[in-house]
Amino acid sequence: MSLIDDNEPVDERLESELGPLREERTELLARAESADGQIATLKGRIAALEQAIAAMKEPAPPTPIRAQAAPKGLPGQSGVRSSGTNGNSAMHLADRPIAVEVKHLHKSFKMPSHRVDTFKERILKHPFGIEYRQLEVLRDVTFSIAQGEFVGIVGVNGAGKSTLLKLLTGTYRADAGSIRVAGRVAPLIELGVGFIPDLTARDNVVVNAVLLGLTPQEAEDRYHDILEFAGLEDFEELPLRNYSSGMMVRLGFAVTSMVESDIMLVDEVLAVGDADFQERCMEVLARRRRQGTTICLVSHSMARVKQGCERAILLDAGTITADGHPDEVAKAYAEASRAVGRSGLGTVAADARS
Amino acid sequence: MSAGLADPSNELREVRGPYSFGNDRQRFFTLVWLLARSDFKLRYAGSFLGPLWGLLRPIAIFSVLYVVFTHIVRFGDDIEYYAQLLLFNIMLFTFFVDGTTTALRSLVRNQRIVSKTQFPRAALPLAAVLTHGFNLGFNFLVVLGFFVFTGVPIRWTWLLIPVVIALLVILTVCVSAFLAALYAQFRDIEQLWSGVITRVLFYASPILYPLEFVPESFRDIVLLNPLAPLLVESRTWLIDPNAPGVEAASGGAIALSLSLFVLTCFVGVAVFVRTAPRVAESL
Repeated sequence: MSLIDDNEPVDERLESELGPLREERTELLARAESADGQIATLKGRIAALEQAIAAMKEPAPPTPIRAQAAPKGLPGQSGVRSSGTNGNSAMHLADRPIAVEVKHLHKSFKMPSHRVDTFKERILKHPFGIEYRQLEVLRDVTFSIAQGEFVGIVGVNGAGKSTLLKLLTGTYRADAGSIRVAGRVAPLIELGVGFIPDLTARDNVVVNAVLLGLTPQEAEDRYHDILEFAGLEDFEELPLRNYSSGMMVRLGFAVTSMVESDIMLVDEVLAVGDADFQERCMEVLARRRRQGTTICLVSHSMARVKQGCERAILLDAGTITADGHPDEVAKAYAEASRAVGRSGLGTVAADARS
Repeated sequence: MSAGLADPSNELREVRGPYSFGNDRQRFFTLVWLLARSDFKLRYAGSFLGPLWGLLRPIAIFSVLYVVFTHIVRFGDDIEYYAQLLLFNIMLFTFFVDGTTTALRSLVRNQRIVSKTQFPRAALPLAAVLTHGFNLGFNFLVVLGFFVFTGVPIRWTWLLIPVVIALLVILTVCVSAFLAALYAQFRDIEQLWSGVITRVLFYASPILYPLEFVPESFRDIVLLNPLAPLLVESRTWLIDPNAPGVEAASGGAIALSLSLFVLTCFVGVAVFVRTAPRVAESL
């Protein structure tokens, strides 16, 4: 899909006029952002002072963990930043507690040069061991997300988005580095994971909800809400194999959205289903955000990220190359995707895993 | 609803990736129970006789073997309560084989949930064993009824049978964990286990024949198989207190057999715990 309208042929003359205008825009945005940063710093100080005053009045309340200047790139800046290096660039989110903190994360996969599934293959074809190719999917990734932030992680196919998400949800184990999260994490990676077609909605909903982190009691309590939300009250005793695919998606989404969480990790689930369904997904995300849930949306669609996120992180070949306002990251992303377009689909292998 | 901003008690905690058991014991056993229950329902979904098949299969195998060994080969005639012994042994062995073969495929068969959600990995093989545990429990009651009905004298040692069952369950779980972890990487394991090893074990264990039929020089070897002491002891406790039990073997053999049992369990769990965190990546 076309991510940005740069793909259209642009007249060279117009391009030369556009160039300076773009630069000016970037500069203005940068200035606006630094002003925002200053305001935020001041606000942060005010808040800190107020808190100090309050602390003097009351016996010490438990102090939440503070973000050490959530790393947020300025336009044009690139490369990996470690958090807490620049005290002056306190952002408007700097005063919120951290929800997700990733430090120097590395992940690589051992890709056998030949797939070996049986002992016979192992012994006859490769008697001296199998050659492995080390495929570095994530290299020294560092970022943090403040509580209540709605962040989009973008990147072309094979950039390492899905691997990062699976590390965050804990389905993969990191090779090096650390991931820390505050609160309950709900992965929204695929709808209806573990649905068994031969069983009824009731059986499936309970197992699915418990897999996603509810207790069976909570699952039972919310069962009717889930069916109602999915609009499937009349099909309770029907085996799922007789459901239409739309009904199945609705049921899967209903279960997922009933799972309480402090942090939601959303993969391309929004891509399935019709426009109406996608709208409902975005509605639920918006509602959760108002309730203070931290949301991390992984997508290769910059348009989607621009639509809802307040911040975007660009992953390119396993490293963070841009981090900041979605409009700014969009530019870097357009460049990155053009580069991939030129070099063909060299990085697809990495995506085959996800 | 969500704690979010308002709640400062949300401390950062490390995400360490997939784990075998996890710290949340309640969640672990809940998952085992739910997965086993839906697996059990699925197994018999739409079949007319349903869970009765879990009983009919061992009975069918028993019937054939009973006829063969009492009317054709004719050694069962000399053994007191041969039918009861055979039926009980087949019940135990069926549980072991069914449990391990279902568990062997459990991680691969459920690869969607393994690669998409976070849950204690050991729940899958354990749930597979529990599914067959339901059958074992039911079959045990039926077989016990058969014992009473056919006049096997009731003894206080019957109360010791849960010990045998518990040890059998532990062995089955540990072997299952081992097989499930290996099967994710080597698909030959299935053929090797269900096609070769379980068949060899059936004849190598004292199921069809009692221990006294084994030449004395072989008894130690027969008892090395971790299943054998369980079968031998349940016979002494259930049917014939004078039948040779584990003590028929030499002291060294008993110690060896015991350490082999412990070693099997230990290796099974160790391999699983080592492999499980990365199993999602090799599926």
